[in-house]
Amino acid sequence: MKLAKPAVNDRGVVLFGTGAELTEDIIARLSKAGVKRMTVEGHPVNTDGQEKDLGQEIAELHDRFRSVEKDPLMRKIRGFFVERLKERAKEA
Amino acid sequence: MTVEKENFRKRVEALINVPTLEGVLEKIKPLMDSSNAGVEDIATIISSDQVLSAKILRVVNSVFYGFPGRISSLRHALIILGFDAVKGLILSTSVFDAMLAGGFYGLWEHSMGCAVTAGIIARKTRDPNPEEISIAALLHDIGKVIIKTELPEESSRIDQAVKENQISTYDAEREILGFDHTTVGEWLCQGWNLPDKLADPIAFHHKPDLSQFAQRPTAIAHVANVFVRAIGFGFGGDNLVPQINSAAWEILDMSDSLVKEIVKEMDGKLEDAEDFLAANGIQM
Repeated sequence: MKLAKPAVNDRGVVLFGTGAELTEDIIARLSKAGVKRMTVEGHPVNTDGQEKDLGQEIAELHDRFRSVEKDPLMRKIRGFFVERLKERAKEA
Repeated sequence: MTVEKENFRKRVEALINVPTLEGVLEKIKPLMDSSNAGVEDIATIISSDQVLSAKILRVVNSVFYGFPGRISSLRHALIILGFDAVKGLILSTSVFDAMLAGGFYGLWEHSMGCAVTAGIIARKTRDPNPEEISIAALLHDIGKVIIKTELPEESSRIDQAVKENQISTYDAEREILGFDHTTVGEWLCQGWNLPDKLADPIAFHHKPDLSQFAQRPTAIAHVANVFVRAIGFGFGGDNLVPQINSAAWEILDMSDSLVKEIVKEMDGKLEDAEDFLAANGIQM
Protein backbone atom coordinates (compact mmCIF):
# COMPACT_ATOMS: atom_id res chain seq x y z
CA MET A 1 0.00 0.00 0.00
CA LYS A 2 1.50 3.31 -1.14
CA LEU A 3 0.70 6.90 -0.24
CA ALA A 4 -1.10 8.75 -3.05
CA LYS A 5 -0.64 12.07 -1.24
CA PRO A 6 1.86 13.24 1.36
CA ALA A 7 1.02 12.35 4.97
CA VAL A 8 0.83 15.60 6.95
CA ASN A 9 0.42 16.17 10.67
CA ASP A 10 -2.08 18.56 12.24
CA ARG A 11 0.34 21.47 11.72
CA GLY A 12 0.63 20.80 8.02
CA VAL A 13 4.16 19.37 8.20
CA VAL A 14 4.85 16.67 5.62
CA LEU A 15 6.05 13.53 7.41
CA PHE A 16 5.95 11.04 4.54
CA GLY A 17 5.98 11.82 0.84
CA THR A 18 3.84 10.59 -2.04
CA GLY A 19 4.73 7.06 -3.12
CA ALA A 20 6.07 5.96 0.29
CA GLU A 21 5.30 2.33 1.10
CA LEU A 22 3.09 1.98 4.18
CA THR A 23 3.43 -0.80 6.72
CA GLU A 24 1.39 -1.33 9.87
CA ASP A 25 4.29 -0.05 11.91
CA ILE A 26 4.61 3.13 9.84
CA ILE A 27 0.87 3.77 9.97
CA ALA A 28 0.96 3.45 13.77
CA ARG A 29 3.89 5.84 14.00
CA LEU A 30 2.29 8.39 11.68
CA SER A 31 -0.91 8.20 13.66
CA LYS A 32 1.05 8.85 16.87
CA ALA A 33 2.70 11.84 15.19
CA GLY A 34 -0.64 13.55 14.59
CA VAL A 35 -1.53 12.28 11.10
CA LYS A 36 -5.29 11.82 11.13
CA ARG A 37 -5.83 10.87 7.49
CA MET A 38 -3.85 9.22 4.72
CA THR A 39 -4.71 8.83 1.03
CA VAL A 40 -3.43 5.65 -0.55
CA GLU A 41 -3.12 4.61 -4.16
CA GLY A 42 -5.81 2.57 -5.89
CA HIS A 43 -9.57 2.69 -5.80
CA PRO A 44 -11.10 3.82 -2.51
CA VAL A 45 -11.70 1.10 0.02
CA ASN A 46 -15.07 0.26 1.53
CA THR A 47 -16.98 3.50 2.09
CA ASP A 48 -20.08 1.86 3.60
CA GLY A 49 -22.04 2.54 0.45
CA GLN A 50 -21.49 6.30 0.77
CA GLU A 51 -19.61 6.64 -2.49
CA LYS A 52 -21.87 8.27 -5.05
CA ASP A 53 -22.12 7.04 -8.60
CA LEU A 54 -21.72 9.39 -11.56
CA GLY A 55 -25.45 9.58 -12.27
CA GLN A 56 -26.19 10.61 -8.72
CA GLU A 57 -23.43 13.23 -8.74
CA ILE A 58 -24.73 14.73 -12.00
CA ALA A 59 -28.29 14.77 -10.67
CA GLU A 60 -27.17 16.58 -7.53
CA LEU A 61 -25.22 19.07 -9.64
CA HIS A 62 -28.32 19.81 -11.75
CA ASP A 63 -30.31 20.26 -8.55
CA ARG A 64 -27.86 22.86 -7.24
CA PHE A 65 -28.28 24.81 -10.50
CA ARG A 66 -32.09 24.66 -10.36
CA SER A 67 -32.67 28.37 -9.77
CA VAL A 68 -30.39 29.53 -12.61
CA GLU A 69 -30.87 26.78 -15.20
CA LYS A 70 -32.63 29.07 -17.68
CA ASP A 71 -29.62 31.36 -17.98
CA PRO A 72 -27.37 30.45 -20.95
CA LEU A 73 -24.10 31.33 -19.14
CA MET A 74 -25.07 29.27 -16.09
CA ARG A 75 -26.04 26.32 -18.31
CA LYS A 76 -22.63 26.53 -19.97
CA ILE A 77 -20.87 26.63 -16.59
CA ARG A 78 -22.93 23.66 -15.40
CA GLY A 79 -21.75 21.84 -18.51
CA PHE A 80 -18.09 22.37 -17.53
CA PHE A 81 -18.72 20.84 -14.11
CA VAL A 82 -20.62 17.90 -15.62
CA GLU A 83 -17.72 17.34 -18.02
CA ARG A 84 -15.27 17.31 -15.09
CA LEU A 85 -17.39 14.77 -13.21
CA LYS A 86 -17.33 12.51 -16.27
CA GLU A 87 -13.56 12.89 -16.70
CA ARG A 88 -13.00 12.06 -13.03
CA ALA A 89 -15.17 8.97 -13.33
CA LYS A 90 -13.02 7.83 -16.27
CA GLU A 91 -9.79 8.52 -14.37
CA ALA A 92 -11.00 6.34 -11.48
CA MET B 1 -40.13 41.55 12.92
CA THR B 2 -36.77 42.81 11.73
CA VAL B 3 -33.68 43.46 13.83
CA GLU B 4 -33.02 47.12 14.60
CA LYS B 5 -30.18 47.72 12.17
CA GLU B 6 -28.31 50.56 13.91
CA ASN B 7 -28.36 48.78 17.28
CA PHE B 8 -27.01 45.63 15.70
CA ARG B 9 -24.35 47.61 13.89
CA LYS B 10 -23.14 48.95 17.24
CA ARG B 11 -23.07 45.41 18.62
CA VAL B 12 -20.99 44.22 15.67
CA GLU B 13 -18.58 47.12 16.06
CA ALA B 14 -18.21 46.29 19.73
CA LEU B 15 -17.32 42.72 18.78
CA ILE B 16 -14.20 43.70 16.95
CA ASN B 17 -11.78 43.19 19.79
CA VAL B 18 -13.62 40.36 21.45
CA PRO B 19 -12.00 37.16 20.19
CA THR B 20 -9.09 35.70 22.12
CA LEU B 21 -6.70 38.18 20.58
CA GLU B 22 -7.23 41.43 22.53
CA GLY B 23 -3.69 41.87 23.82
CA VAL B 24 -1.90 41.25 20.55
CA LEU B 25 -4.46 43.15 18.52
CA GLU B 26 -4.13 46.23 20.66
CA LYS B 27 -0.39 46.23 20.05
CA ILE B 28 -0.52 45.40 16.36
CA LYS B 29 -3.31 47.67 15.20
CA PRO B 30 -1.35 50.95 15.54
CA LEU B 31 1.69 49.28 13.96
CA MET B 32 -0.33 48.06 11.03
CA ASP B 33 -1.92 51.44 10.54
CA SER B 34 1.50 53.08 10.58
CA SER B 35 3.56 53.28 7.42
CA ASN B 36 6.79 53.11 9.46
CA ALA B 37 6.14 49.72 11.00
CA GLY B 38 8.53 47.03 9.85
CA VAL B 39 8.06 43.31 9.29
CA GLU B 40 10.31 42.64 12.28
CA ASP B 41 8.16 44.77 14.64
CA ILE B 42 4.96 43.03 13.66
CA ALA B 43 6.48 39.56 13.51
CA THR B 44 7.98 39.99 16.97
CA ILE B 45 4.66 41.00 18.51
CA ILE B 46 2.64 38.25 16.84
CA SER B 47 5.31 35.67 17.64
CA SER B 48 5.04 36.56 21.32
CA ASP B 49 1.66 34.85 21.25
CA GLN B 50 2.40 31.27 20.32
CA VAL B 51 -1.22 30.25 20.05
CA LEU B 52 -1.97 33.08 17.66
CA SER B 53 1.18 32.36 15.64
CA ALA B 54 0.23 28.70 15.30
CA LYS B 55 -3.29 29.63 14.28
CA ILE B 56 -2.09 32.07 11.63
CA LEU B 57 0.33 29.53 10.18
CA ARG B 58 -2.39 26.89 10.19
CA VAL B 59 -4.64 29.12 8.13
CA VAL B 60 -1.80 30.16 5.83
CA ASN B 61 -0.80 26.60 5.13
CA SER B 62 -4.36 25.45 4.66
CA VAL B 63 -5.27 28.21 2.23
CA PHE B 64 -1.98 27.96 0.38
CA TYR B 65 -1.75 24.19 0.67
CA GLY B 66 0.91 23.20 -1.77
CA PHE B 67 2.64 26.57 -1.53
CA PRO B 68 6.26 25.83 -2.47
CA GLY B 69 8.28 25.14 0.65
CA ARG B 70 5.35 25.91 2.91
CA ILE B 71 5.19 28.95 5.12
CA SER B 72 6.87 28.02 8.36
CA SER B 73 7.36 31.34 10.16
CA LEU B 74 5.41 34.52 10.68
CA ARG B 75 8.26 36.54 9.28
CA HIS B 76 8.06 34.47 6.11
CA ALA B 77 4.27 34.94 5.96
CA LEU B 78 4.58 38.70 6.40
CA ILE B 79 7.22 39.01 3.70
CA ILE B 80 5.37 36.86 1.20
CA LEU B 81 1.84 38.00 1.88
CA GLY B 82 2.26 41.61 3.01
CA PHE B 83 0.77 43.45 6.00
CA ASP B 84 -2.74 43.80 4.67
CA ALA B 85 -3.09 40.12 3.97
CA VAL B 86 -1.73 39.22 7.39
CA LYS B 87 -4.19 41.63 8.98
CA GLY B 88 -6.94 39.74 7.19
CA LEU B 89 -5.36 36.50 8.35
CA ILE B 90 -5.47 37.55 12.00
CA LEU B 91 -9.16 38.21 11.54
CA SER B 92 -9.56 34.86 9.81
CA THR B 93 -8.06 33.00 12.79
CA SER B 94 -10.81 34.38 15.02
CA VAL B 95 -13.36 33.48 12.35
CA PHE B 96 -11.95 29.96 12.27
CA ASP B 97 -12.29 29.72 16.06
CA ALA B 98 -15.85 31.05 15.99
CA MET B 99 -16.83 28.64 13.22
CA LEU B 100 -15.40 25.63 15.03
CA ALA B 101 -16.77 26.70 18.41
CA GLY B 102 -20.21 27.13 16.88
CA GLY B 103 -19.97 23.86 14.93
CA PHE B 104 -20.26 25.69 11.60
CA TYR B 105 -18.00 23.20 9.84
CA GLY B 106 -19.86 23.42 6.54
CA LEU B 107 -19.38 27.18 6.42
CA TRP B 108 -15.66 26.85 7.16
CA GLU B 109 -15.32 24.29 4.37
CA HIS B 110 -17.21 26.61 2.02
CA SER B 111 -14.95 29.53 3.00
CA MET B 112 -11.80 27.47 2.53
CA GLY B 113 -13.09 26.21 -0.80
CA CYS B 114 -13.67 29.80 -1.94
CA ALA B 115 -10.18 30.82 -0.81
CA VAL B 116 -8.58 27.96 -2.74
CA THR B 117 -10.72 28.59 -5.84
CA ALA B 118 -10.18 32.37 -5.78
CA GLY B 119 -6.44 31.71 -5.66
CA ILE B 120 -6.71 29.43 -8.72
CA ILE B 121 -8.79 31.97 -10.68
CA ALA B 122 -6.42 34.80 -9.70
CA ARG B 123 -3.36 32.86 -10.84
CA LYS B 124 -4.97 31.61 -14.05
CA THR B 125 -6.05 35.15 -14.96
CA ARG B 126 -2.56 36.43 -14.06
CA ASP B 127 -3.64 38.64 -11.20
CA PRO B 128 -0.62 40.06 -9.35
CA ASN B 129 -2.04 39.39 -5.85
CA PRO B 130 -3.52 35.88 -5.68
CA GLU B 131 -2.74 35.44 -1.96
CA GLU B 132 -4.62 38.60 -0.97
CA ILE B 133 -7.59 37.57 -3.08
CA SER B 134 -7.57 34.14 -1.41
CA ILE B 135 -7.74 35.75 2.02
CA ALA B 136 -10.56 38.05 0.92
CA ALA B 137 -12.44 34.98 -0.31
CA LEU B 138 -11.70 33.14 2.93
CA LEU B 139 -13.37 35.98 4.81
CA HIS B 140 -16.20 36.70 2.35
CA ASP B 141 -18.92 35.15 4.55
CA ILE B 142 -17.67 36.55 7.87
CA GLY B 143 -21.02 38.33 8.28
CA LYS B 144 -22.76 34.93 8.38
CA VAL B 145 -20.61 33.89 11.35
CA ILE B 146 -21.54 37.06 13.22
CA ILE B 147 -25.25 36.57 12.47
CA LYS B 148 -25.08 32.95 13.64
CA THR B 149 -23.27 33.76 16.87
CA GLU B 150 -24.93 37.06 17.75
CA LEU B 151 -28.47 36.48 16.51
CA PRO B 152 -29.06 32.74 17.12
CA GLU B 153 -32.83 32.99 17.17
CA GLU B 154 -33.04 34.94 13.91
CA SER B 155 -30.40 32.63 12.46
CA SER B 156 -32.66 29.61 13.09
CA ARG B 157 -35.50 31.43 11.37
CA ILE B 158 -33.23 32.16 8.41
CA ASP B 159 -32.30 28.46 8.16
CA GLN B 160 -35.97 27.52 8.38
CA ALA B 161 -36.94 30.01 5.64
CA VAL B 162 -34.19 28.63 3.39
CA LYS B 163 -35.58 25.10 3.79
CA GLU B 164 -39.27 25.87 3.63
CA ASN B 165 -39.23 28.47 0.86
CA GLN B 166 -36.31 27.07 -1.14
CA ILE B 167 -34.62 30.47 -1.18
CA SER B 168 -31.01 31.51 -0.73
CA THR B 169 -29.57 32.46 2.67
CA TYR B 170 -28.95 35.94 1.28
CA ASP B 171 -32.66 36.40 0.43
CA ALA B 172 -33.78 34.84 3.71
CA GLU B 173 -31.53 37.19 5.70
CA ARG B 174 -32.98 40.21 3.93
CA GLU B 175 -36.49 38.94 4.56
CA ILE B 176 -35.98 38.20 8.25
CA LEU B 177 -33.36 40.74 9.34
CA GLY B 178 -33.96 43.52 6.86
CA PHE B 179 -30.26 43.35 5.91
CA ASP B 180 -27.81 40.59 4.98
CA HIS B 181 -24.40 39.12 5.84
CA THR B 182 -22.56 41.32 3.33
CA THR B 183 -23.65 44.43 5.24
CA VAL B 184 -22.58 42.89 8.55
CA GLY B 185 -19.23 41.95 6.97
CA GLU B 186 -18.84 45.51 5.74
CA TRP B 187 -19.34 46.89 9.29
CA LEU B 188 -16.66 44.55 10.57
CA CYS B 189 -14.26 45.61 7.82
CA GLN B 190 -14.84 49.26 8.65
CA GLY B 191 -14.14 48.61 12.32
CA TRP B 192 -10.94 46.81 11.40
CA ASN B 193 -9.87 49.37 8.83
CA LEU B 194 -9.35 46.62 6.32
CA PRO B 195 -8.16 47.85 2.93
CA ASP B 196 -10.64 48.00 0.05
CA LYS B 197 -9.06 44.99 -1.67
CA LEU B 198 -10.18 42.86 1.31
CA ALA B 199 -13.29 44.82 2.29
CA ASP B 200 -14.94 45.09 -1.15
CA PRO B 201 -15.06 41.32 -1.83
CA ILE B 202 -16.66 40.87 1.61
CA ALA B 203 -19.17 43.69 1.10
CA PHE B 204 -20.02 43.08 -2.56
CA HIS B 205 -19.48 39.40 -3.37
CA HIS B 206 -23.21 39.12 -4.14
CA LYS B 207 -23.31 42.36 -6.12
CA PRO B 208 -19.79 42.73 -7.54
CA ASP B 209 -20.80 45.54 -9.88
CA LEU B 210 -21.16 47.80 -6.80
CA SER B 211 -17.45 47.53 -5.98
CA GLN B 212 -15.75 50.83 -6.66
CA PHE B 213 -12.23 50.27 -5.37
CA ALA B 214 -11.47 46.57 -5.88
CA GLN B 215 -13.49 45.40 -8.86
CA ARG B 216 -11.22 42.57 -9.88
CA PRO B 217 -10.75 40.94 -6.44
CA THR B 218 -14.51 41.28 -5.89
CA ALA B 219 -15.28 39.71 -9.26
CA ILE B 220 -12.94 36.80 -8.43
CA ALA B 221 -14.49 36.24 -4.98
CA HIS B 222 -17.95 36.36 -6.59
CA VAL B 223 -17.11 33.77 -9.26
CA ALA B 224 -15.23 31.58 -6.73
CA ASN B 225 -18.36 31.53 -4.54
CA VAL B 226 -20.46 30.41 -7.52
CA PHE B 227 -17.96 27.71 -8.56
CA VAL B 228 -17.58 26.29 -5.04
CA ARG B 229 -21.34 26.07 -4.69
CA ALA B 230 -21.49 24.44 -8.12
CA ILE B 231 -19.02 21.74 -7.15
CA GLY B 232 -20.87 21.24 -3.84
CA PHE B 233 -17.91 21.73 -1.49
CA GLY B 234 -18.89 22.71 2.05
CA PHE B 235 -22.15 24.39 2.93
CA GLY B 236 -22.75 28.13 2.62
CA GLY B 237 -26.20 27.99 4.22
CA ASP B 238 -28.19 26.71 1.20
CA ASN B 239 -27.48 24.49 -1.78
CA LEU B 240 -28.35 26.95 -4.53
CA VAL B 241 -25.83 28.07 -7.13
CA PRO B 242 -26.25 31.85 -7.51
CA GLN B 243 -26.39 33.67 -10.83
CA ILE B 244 -23.05 34.98 -12.09
CA ASN B 245 -23.01 38.73 -12.49
CA SER B 246 -22.33 39.53 -16.14
CA ALA B 247 -20.16 42.57 -15.37
CA ALA B 248 -17.93 40.48 -13.08
CA TRP B 249 -17.69 37.74 -15.71
CA GLU B 250 -16.65 40.30 -18.31
CA ILE B 251 -13.95 41.75 -16.02
CA LEU B 252 -12.33 38.32 -15.76
CA ASP B 253 -12.67 37.68 -19.50
CA MET B 254 -12.00 33.92 -19.25
CA SER B 255 -12.09 31.67 -22.29
CA ASP B 256 -13.99 28.38 -22.13
CA SER B 257 -10.74 26.42 -22.08
CA LEU B 258 -9.45 28.50 -19.16
CA VAL B 259 -12.65 27.88 -17.19
CA LYS B 260 -12.26 24.14 -17.85
CA GLU B 261 -8.68 24.29 -16.54
CA ILE B 262 -9.89 26.12 -13.42
CA VAL B 263 -12.62 23.52 -12.79
CA LYS B 264 -10.09 20.70 -13.16
CA GLU B 265 -7.59 22.33 -10.81
CA MET B 266 -10.34 23.09 -8.30
CA ASP B 267 -11.27 19.44 -8.24
CA GLY B 268 -7.75 18.38 -7.21
CA LYS B 269 -7.02 21.23 -4.82
CA LEU B 270 -10.33 20.95 -3.00
CA GLU B 271 -9.56 17.30 -2.41
CA ASP B 272 -6.29 18.44 -0.78
CA ALA B 273 -8.22 20.99 1.30
CA GLU B 274 -10.58 18.20 2.39
CA ASP B 275 -7.56 16.17 3.51
CA PHE B 276 -6.28 19.17 5.46
CA LEU B 277 -9.63 19.64 7.17
CA ALA B 278 -9.73 15.96 8.06
CA ALA B 279 -6.19 16.21 9.45
CA ASN B 280 -7.52 18.97 11.70
CA GLY B 281 -10.39 16.84 12.90
CA ILE B 282 -13.08 18.29 10.61
CA GLN B 283 -14.94 15.64 8.67
CA MET B 284 -16.81 16.59 5.50
